[in-house]
Amino acid sequence: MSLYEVKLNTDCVVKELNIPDEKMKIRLMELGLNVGSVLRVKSKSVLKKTFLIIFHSSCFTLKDDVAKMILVNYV
Amino acid sequence: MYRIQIVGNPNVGKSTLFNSLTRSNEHTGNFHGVTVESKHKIVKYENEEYDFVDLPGLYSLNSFSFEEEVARDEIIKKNSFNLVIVDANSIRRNLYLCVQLNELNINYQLLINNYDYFEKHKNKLNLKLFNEKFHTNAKIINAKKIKINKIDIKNIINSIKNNDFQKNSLNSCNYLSKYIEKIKNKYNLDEKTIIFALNGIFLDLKDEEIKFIKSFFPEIIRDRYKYIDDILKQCIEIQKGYVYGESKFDKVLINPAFMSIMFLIVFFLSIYIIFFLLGPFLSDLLIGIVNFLIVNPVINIIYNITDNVWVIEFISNGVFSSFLTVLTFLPQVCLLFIFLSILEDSGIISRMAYVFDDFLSYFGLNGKAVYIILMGLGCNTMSTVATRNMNSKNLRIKTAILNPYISCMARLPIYVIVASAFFGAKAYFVITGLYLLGLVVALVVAYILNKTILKSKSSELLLEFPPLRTLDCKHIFQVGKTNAWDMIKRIFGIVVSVGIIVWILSHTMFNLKYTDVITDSILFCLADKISFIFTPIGLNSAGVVCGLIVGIMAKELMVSTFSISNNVASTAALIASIVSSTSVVNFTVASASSFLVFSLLYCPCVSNLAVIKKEIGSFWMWFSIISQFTIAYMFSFVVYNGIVHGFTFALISILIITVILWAIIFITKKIRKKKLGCTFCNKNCGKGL
Repeated sequence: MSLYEVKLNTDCVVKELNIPDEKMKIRLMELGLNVGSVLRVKSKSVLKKTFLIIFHSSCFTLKDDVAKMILVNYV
Repeated sequence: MYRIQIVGNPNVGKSTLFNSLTRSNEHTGNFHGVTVESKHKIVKYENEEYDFVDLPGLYSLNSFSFEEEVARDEIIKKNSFNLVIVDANSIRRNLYLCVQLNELNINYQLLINNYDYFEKHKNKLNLKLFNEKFHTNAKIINAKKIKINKIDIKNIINSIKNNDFQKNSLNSCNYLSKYIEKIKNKYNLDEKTIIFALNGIFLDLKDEEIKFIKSFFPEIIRDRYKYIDDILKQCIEIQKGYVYGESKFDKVLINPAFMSIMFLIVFFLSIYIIFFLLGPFLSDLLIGIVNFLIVNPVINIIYNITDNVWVIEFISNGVFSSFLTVLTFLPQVCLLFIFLSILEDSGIISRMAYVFDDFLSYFGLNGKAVYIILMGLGCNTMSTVATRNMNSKNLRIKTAILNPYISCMARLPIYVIVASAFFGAKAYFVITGLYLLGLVVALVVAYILNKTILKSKSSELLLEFPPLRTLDCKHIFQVGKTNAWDMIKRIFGIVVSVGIIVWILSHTMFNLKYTDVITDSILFCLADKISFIFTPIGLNSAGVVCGLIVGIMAKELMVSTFSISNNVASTAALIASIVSSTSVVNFTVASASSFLVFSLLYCPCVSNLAVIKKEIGSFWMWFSIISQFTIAYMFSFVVYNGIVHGFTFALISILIITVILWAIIFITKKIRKKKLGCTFCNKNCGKGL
């Protein structure tokens, strides 16, 4: 399941960080996002190209091509 | 002298702390990446000199953008004392950088900012326990209010020097040893090189070694966070569901429809208030005071001292006309900067970046370009430097190239004067139209660049949301004051000095004798020789050509050149004189419209060109000059001939121009592919083209 299908304001657990762009993957990990992190999709833009996600008490924007690689499970 | 660097994640209050400690007024904002280059200020305190340095924010030493690289390089030089500032509300993430500094054995003083907000939301931090576990001596501060005597700077320097608190911190990073051992087993590298490489700093390593070390990154990041989490779970209590940066107003603010409508309303309303309601009133008041206190007394004194025409003309027209016509716009410029400051401080810009990200992605840009565009409304030079915030080379070049099309405040005087003279009550719509035209052309240029020579990936918007903040009137007043002062310095510097040169050249003949017939002067004779270039766009008057040439130095000089060449010393007189058939600028409605469009688009000013060259290279500086001149010429041609010859002519012109434009793009693409290779790696990998 990708972030596209996640209902807004539902807690999810990051199952894997399967991001082909290694630099972006490392940056997300440096920001504290990792396998097992609890993530909440706060908002999806009109075209669902950009997401607003919450993890570890902070809000971050995330683009679709990165977001779709973060497979999540509902808590 | 001690060099003290202020280090930390983006938007934690580094510039605010720098301003408080040094009593400076450096640009701050509630937005990720406001500081993009290091700023220095030397402060003398108790017979010692301290060189305070405000570094751009960085999340990690493993840099992700150019601004992070600048900060990282300064930190690892180890020639400074570091004050690391963290936000109590995002302490977990902020401590990641501190752990990296511990690994590299870089000493620092830890300062915890924004604790009031953290505590207000019922979160708790046991500072004593935290200091003990993290082997530090962190202090809780309020970056807005702190003063140099309050933080006991001497004591801090001594403790950093003696490494009092961090002596055990490196030992705490015991997770490092397994990576060091694995790397040593494969490559003959010393421990220091390995630790630096594990933090993304590769000191003369081969590609193969870098690749091997990078393979440990995911694992070591997890270990660092495990180390942080182990400490924090003992000494911090965070309320369940607490989210820093989230606001109840976000439901509305991040709604694309609401934000787009609100943005347009605020934009049009601001232009109306700044340029037509509050601005003119304040301008009249300011000029009245300046005339009463400075201009009239000085002119009276000159009249009493001498009756020499040259001296009287030089002072009243050469000095005062250039000075007064630009000074008139001081209130408007301050109001514009205050408007931008309100957007920055409130935290709305990050929301705008998120909302407009989808729209901007069509043009090969991302949401962060919103900040560059808004900043460009103030000053294109400043916003070109701010493109460092972009984390890919192509995105950075694209934003720097589109940036000069955004109408900066220096172009404002010429719009107001020409539009008021020729369009009367419709001037508001003309000026608003010019701002929108600049924005549309900028986006079209970005689109074409993205489709041809500067393709970029779309996955580049990674932006932290700051909390919404109430407006700080003191700060807003400070922004107004700082920008007013900057403009006054600019007026007394470049505007008056170039104004004097323009006056001398426009009142001196080739035989070096004084003339009051402007058309006989050196400047106008020279301008007349090249005015044929501008005949197809209706700007063949030598007076206009002079204004355009001088405007390349600084756009506000166009209006001072017009006032000098028309021998007038006030905005009202200039408006009246340029509509007159005897005026040296010789405008009609068609040529005035063409001139406004050309002034908007034709060339960045000299200071912006210098910054473009420094930031993205001379190739792109020349690209910017040539492309802007070509685009300005094409648009002015359509506008002028459309008004003179009618709609059909304009339509045919647009079609011809489109064909020419595509031909230019095709040729540029071919040349760049052949000469420079890929814009990603400078080799012919084909990825960037």
